[in-house]
Amino acid sequence: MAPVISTVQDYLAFLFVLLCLGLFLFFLYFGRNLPKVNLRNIEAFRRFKREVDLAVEAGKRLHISLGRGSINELPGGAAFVGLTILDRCARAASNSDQPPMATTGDGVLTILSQDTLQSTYHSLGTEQHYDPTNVRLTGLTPLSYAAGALPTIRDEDISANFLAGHFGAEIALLAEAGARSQSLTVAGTDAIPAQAVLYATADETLLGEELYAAGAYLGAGPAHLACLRMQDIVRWLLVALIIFGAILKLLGILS
Amino acid sequence: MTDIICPLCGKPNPEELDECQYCQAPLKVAGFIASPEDQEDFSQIFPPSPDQAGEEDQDTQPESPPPSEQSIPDWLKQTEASFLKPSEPEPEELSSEQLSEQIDALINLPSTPAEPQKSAIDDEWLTSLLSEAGAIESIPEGEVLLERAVETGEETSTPAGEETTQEEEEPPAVPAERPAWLTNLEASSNIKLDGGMQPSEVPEPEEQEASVEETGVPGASEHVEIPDWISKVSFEEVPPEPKEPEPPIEPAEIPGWLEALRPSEEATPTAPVEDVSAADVVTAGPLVGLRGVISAHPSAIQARKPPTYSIKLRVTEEQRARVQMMEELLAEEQKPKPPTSKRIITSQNIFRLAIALVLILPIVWMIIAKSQQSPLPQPANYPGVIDFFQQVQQLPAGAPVLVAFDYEPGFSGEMNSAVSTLLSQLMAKNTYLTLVTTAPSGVALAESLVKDAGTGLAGSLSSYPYYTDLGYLPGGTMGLLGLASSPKTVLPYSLEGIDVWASAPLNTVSSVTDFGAVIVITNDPDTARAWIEQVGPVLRAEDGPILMVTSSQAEPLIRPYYEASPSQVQGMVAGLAGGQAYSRAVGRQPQNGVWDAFSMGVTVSILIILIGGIISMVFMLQASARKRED
Amino acid sequence: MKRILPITNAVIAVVSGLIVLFGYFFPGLLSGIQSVLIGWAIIIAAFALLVGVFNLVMVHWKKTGTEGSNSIYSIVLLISLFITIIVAGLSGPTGSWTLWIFNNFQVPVEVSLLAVLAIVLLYAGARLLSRKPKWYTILFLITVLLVLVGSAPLFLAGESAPLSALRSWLSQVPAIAGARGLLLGVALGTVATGIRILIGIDRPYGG
Repeated sequence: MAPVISTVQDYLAFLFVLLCLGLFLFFLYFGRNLPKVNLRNIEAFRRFKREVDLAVEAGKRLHISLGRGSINELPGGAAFVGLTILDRCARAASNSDQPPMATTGDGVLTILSQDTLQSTYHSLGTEQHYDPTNVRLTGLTPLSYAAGALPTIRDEDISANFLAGHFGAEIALLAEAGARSQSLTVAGTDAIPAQAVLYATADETLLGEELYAAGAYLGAGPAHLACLRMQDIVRWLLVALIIFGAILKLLGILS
Repeated sequence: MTDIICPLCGKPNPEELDECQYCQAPLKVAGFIASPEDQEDFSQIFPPSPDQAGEEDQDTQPESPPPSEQSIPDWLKQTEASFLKPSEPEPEELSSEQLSEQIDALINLPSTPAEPQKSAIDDEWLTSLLSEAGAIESIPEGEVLLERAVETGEETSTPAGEETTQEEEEPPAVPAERPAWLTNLEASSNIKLDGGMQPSEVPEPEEQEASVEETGVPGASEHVEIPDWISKVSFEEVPPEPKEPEPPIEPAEIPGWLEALRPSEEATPTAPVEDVSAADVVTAGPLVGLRGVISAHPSAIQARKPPTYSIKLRVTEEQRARVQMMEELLAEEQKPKPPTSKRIITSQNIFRLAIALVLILPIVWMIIAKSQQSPLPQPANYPGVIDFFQQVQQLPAGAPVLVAFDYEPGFSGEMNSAVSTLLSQLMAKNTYLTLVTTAPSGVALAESLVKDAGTGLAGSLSSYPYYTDLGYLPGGTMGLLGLASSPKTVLPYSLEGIDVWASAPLNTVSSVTDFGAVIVITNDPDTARAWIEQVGPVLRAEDGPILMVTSSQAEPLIRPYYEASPSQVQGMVAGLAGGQAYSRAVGRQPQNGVWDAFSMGVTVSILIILIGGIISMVFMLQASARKRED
Repeated sequence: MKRILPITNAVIAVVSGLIVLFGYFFPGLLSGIQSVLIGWAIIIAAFALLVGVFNLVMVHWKKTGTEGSNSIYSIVLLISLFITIIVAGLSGPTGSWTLWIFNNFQVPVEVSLLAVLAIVLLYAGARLLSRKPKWYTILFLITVLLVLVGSAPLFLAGESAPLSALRSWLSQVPAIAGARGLLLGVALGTVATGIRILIGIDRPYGG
């Protein structure tokens, strides 16, 4: 029994990843036979989708800020979500007069954003809309990144800002600039301090893993819906494990 | 001297002319049917009946037909006759009753065997002519007669003599009140018969000429030779066919809509639908004399060179102006529009300015005045400060210490107090500082602080010598993992390019566990967690501690690592308060008024948020009260 | 080529990701190649930073050619960039001139931005209740006030031990609990995102 427990402890993370992968594949390929998922209403996405339509009609621009999270680190997940949002926004605004603009605080993220935009326009057959300078590295430090993104919000006739990625407290500067220019600001991040700041400054805030549901809410594909289902199940599993562990601790079984 | 009216163009010509001087139509050749306008005149020229025609022919000075007229075959003349239709209504339009009487009279000629069918067959040609003239009322009967004539016309054949006899007998059967046009028609048909070519009975030209020589008038013989086809049609004796009693045919029930379609009997198509009185008269060709038709004469069709059309686009001035307007509109779209000017002085901007002034002015005053009114924080009140201090104190002299400068320059105001105290404590123990950073701006920050701390150390003018700067560690978390396992591999040289791992004291360092302590200075909780989770597992209990200097915003997230059992962080200093407490623990008493300024700033912030919240709540309650009243 | 390249990119990305992932769980088998791949990633990340700087130059170079009053700031940025590169190249990253530029320009500017951030947060906090008039906004503001009061002694009022203890409890119990819940959700989302990329469904690399 002890070797089994030891082995499980050693490979717990691997088993966890396998569990997530299995659930994801199950929902991806057999999800059609299951009852349809009704996503709960998240006001941030509803308002943003409406604002995208208004921006296209008014000939205004969208601004997507992907933060400064490197894909080599833990905040890389939020960065990839930002890339998905950038792709969906570019598709939604493909027939707009002004293509969306992206700002980043990381070199790798800048290159990935350019590649994402180029792929999106290529798939839509509108390569002429792609401009590499529509993706900008505005700064290498958090505050310089925020300071560099302010002119984009202020001067580029932005209708709506979607701040999705890894940010620090400097995101308040971007949200304030959006409020000053009377553009909608929807923000989501994985950083705890930034979420507290966003609640006070942004128009709509995505707390916690709501950011990671962006793909499902913006119609990125059935894989994102399958991921949401997987996350729901694993979350409940973790809740059960935490409660079970707390009970064991209270009872003195666990040291 | 009377002029002869041309039968084709209707223009008067001198009597002596044989051809019309306008249209070159023969004036005195039989076969032409005059225009309705001049039919009365024609009656003078062309005899209305064979007898009359003969008398008239004798009266007139018949001239031999011109050669051109002789060359025109009779069938063509007949075709012309059939094509020529009066363009104007008959000057003497007979009533329908009179016409029907005439028709009946024609049909029921005594010379002809009285058979309605035969008479119908005999006079079918006349009936057709009458129908063309538009005088027939009884259409069904006429149609029946015509149909029967068409069916049996070819079969009938009568000897010429009988035809002649019948033809001779016909005129007496004509009622006295025979219309002139009919008389003329008969006369013209007799004339045609004289000069026409019949397949069965082709009059020999010699006979014709003889008759002409004798009488001087074409066809003016004592006995009018009627062609066979007339004889066949007129004087054919068809034995009466036994009539079988036909079953009575009940009239069909005509639906209302079909009844409505029945043409009105009152409406007699006597006149053409279209008024062609103003149209030109065809002057040549087989359609001569007709109005409102396209002339079939070859001269009417003039071969012309097809018109050449210019390929140059014709653009009017109005179109050109519109194109220019469109181009200007499109050019305007390409031009970047200047951003709309925004008002600088707004209520929100004033409010922001007010908050800034209320916050900044007291703080500036505290710093300028170097106020010391607020009590300095006690180290015991801040968990982790004392442990931090003790851990640093326990470091052996000259031991290599890894110091990571992972905070942003913007947080210098909050962090520098604790960092400078730390560096001074480390320098006092002559520890070998190994500087590293995962932030791009950390290199310059570290150098700057170390140099400032070194020069400040005991009034020394030179910088602290016992340190090396390994520079920027790329890769973030992956870089930390590499550093933890093998720092020499990840960072082989210092910023100056020196292989520091080859000389003391770093020559004894092969992994991060060989450092006396790992001190992380960061403002980002994620960076702190990365260090703890990547480097911490490598460190064992007997190895050097991990110590944290963080900002206030990261302290709640890092404290669990410090308070864990076993703790993953052996000491931490958080924020300005922690730095002040740590300075107090080291024995340094800052006198720059920073703590009072911080205290003032916190107090003002609390007041601003409180007052703003109260005002907002008051407005909200008033708005909800107004809503309820409404 | 157009069809082969995306497939090749996807295959390389998936295989590399799986090797690094399994290298964590089975270090004996794949640690060697994992280290190599991680080393390459680090080098590429460093080079990507230079590409990002080049992108910054291109953007502002393009802005200098456009009309408008803001083009002057792009000119200033480009001049500053080239001067700093030249100075740091000649003096070294820790040379005196480099440190002079750092200490007299970058540090004050960033500190000022952080001060502006403090004012922005204060202004947002003062107007929060009017923007989001809900009960949890009131709870949020009360929590902010309590933490502020416990962070430092009030001017002329001194420090309050109960308030300090309350502040400590607030930051360590409910705040950390909520933060851990958020972090668990973030971790789940990160795992889901990583799975989608590892099996090639999401291809941010242009596949």
